[in-house]
Amino acid sequence: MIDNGLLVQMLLGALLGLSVYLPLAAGQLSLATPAFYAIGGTLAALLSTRWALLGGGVDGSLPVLSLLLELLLGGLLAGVLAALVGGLVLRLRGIYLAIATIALVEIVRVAILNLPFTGGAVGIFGIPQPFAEASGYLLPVLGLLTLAGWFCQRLEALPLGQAMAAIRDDELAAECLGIDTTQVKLRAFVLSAVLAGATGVLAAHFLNTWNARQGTFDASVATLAFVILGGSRTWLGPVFGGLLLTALPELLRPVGDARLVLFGLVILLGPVLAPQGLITPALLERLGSLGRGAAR
Amino acid sequence: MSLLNATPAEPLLEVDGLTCRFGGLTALDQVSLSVNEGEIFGLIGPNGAGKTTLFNALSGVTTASAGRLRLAGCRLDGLEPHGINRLGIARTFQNLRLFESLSVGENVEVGLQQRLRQPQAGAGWGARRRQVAELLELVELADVTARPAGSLSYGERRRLEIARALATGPRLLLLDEPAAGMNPAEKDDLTDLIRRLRERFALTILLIEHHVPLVMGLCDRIAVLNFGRRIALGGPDAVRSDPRVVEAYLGGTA
Repeated sequence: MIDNGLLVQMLLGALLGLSVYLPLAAGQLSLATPAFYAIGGTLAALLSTRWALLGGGVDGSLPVLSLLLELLLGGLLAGVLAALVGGLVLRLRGIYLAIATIALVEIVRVAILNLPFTGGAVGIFGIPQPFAEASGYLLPVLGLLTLAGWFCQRLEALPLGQAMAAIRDDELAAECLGIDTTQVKLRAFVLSAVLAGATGVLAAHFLNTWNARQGTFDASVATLAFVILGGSRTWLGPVFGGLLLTALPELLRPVGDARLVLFGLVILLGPVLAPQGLITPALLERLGSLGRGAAR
Repeated sequence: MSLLNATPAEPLLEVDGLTCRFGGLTALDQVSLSVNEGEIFGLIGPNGAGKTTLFNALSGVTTASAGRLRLAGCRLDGLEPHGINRLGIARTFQNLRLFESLSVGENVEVGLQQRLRQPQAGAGWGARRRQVAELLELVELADVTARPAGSLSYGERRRLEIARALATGPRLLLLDEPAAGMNPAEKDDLTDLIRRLRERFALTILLIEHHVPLVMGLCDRIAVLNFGRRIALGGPDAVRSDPRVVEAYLGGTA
């Protein structure tokens, strides 16, 4: 039922979920993830189709090393842009930040649509493939997800992660304890953008074509749904939400048009039945103690 | 004692003509006072007198409309709260603001962060753990280190806020109604704790408190605010018998 192609898409969804999770872990509702995803993807599409040095062959192949270079560049570009934009938009709080980041997604979308070199509405075609099969993408996507997950886990014990949690709980108190909250929020925002940018690079090659519709307001809502359904209190929540919500529309294909209704129901009922999300720290603790009990 | 043979040295905290206006409301009107190094200084006054506004201005949460604030000669006005904290002022909050999803120990660690960034402080996990344990020991919360802060009782929360503020290594500690909601035995313990903290960390303490016996017994000097103005300043006995203070609390005879 789940072929390699869908699996790669699910893992890409999990990565985007983590990208939304990072600012949220510092209490910042940013919907900018699709903007940086689009920037990373566009960069990869342009570089690999236009820059011969990367070695994109006529047969549509691409050396894996070039992919790694693109990942670096895509992450870097998204991170630098986030640092520039973040200084401005992170002055806003709550719903106002969300609206400003939606505007950012729109600006990037319209820019990609209208720039002379991004292919307009049709976009960029024939993006070279570093791997011949969908299964080839599993390794880099899973690798990036492992790295991101390890980082999020590690973050909880690091000063930055603790400062982020403190800001989420009470920004004023954190500020009064000497935490430069503006800096911490900016770092979380940049990390989120780097992850989204790198994910875009992988997605562009995997999808083979790229256009402005990759980063839309709809994508903002979808990636936010990953976090809300999965849970925002532990990094495993958005990973689970991303996997599940990317797979669901495909898995529901057999039921025909009713699948969209079912999909909508899941998104609706999830937060109603599990307001904290499906994966919560309390659940992980219970699972952990079950595991220990079984081991004994 | 520090009062009787007071040295002419520069005071630690100087508040000079501090005014805070919110729209048409003047919460603080030309308030001046200075707090000496090592002093426990009380701030009392009826509800709405401007005590918490003064704390907010001192910690950078509220911007002063006029006046000057100095800590050991350093200007504080215009600094953000985290900048003021790094200069050496830490505070607690009247309506407790703990990081509820973090553990008791993590709450203190968050406070330690900025201090440990400085070069001379012992860095690394070991030092951090030790300092957390030491601070929690001091406020008698060592045995609940791993519990979520949200699960603590009221009195425990107040003590955790004090430990968290101390973790930032302040020279001046602002305590906003530390005894609120405590029973008489807890209030006695708190008085002892505040005295111990002063000794141990060579702290200067400015505290807001409604419980008059506690303030009178603990503070070296007291300032009384009423409707945003400082109406009295002096030792506990002088303040207690000041007719303006009596009038502010009991109402005028006019």
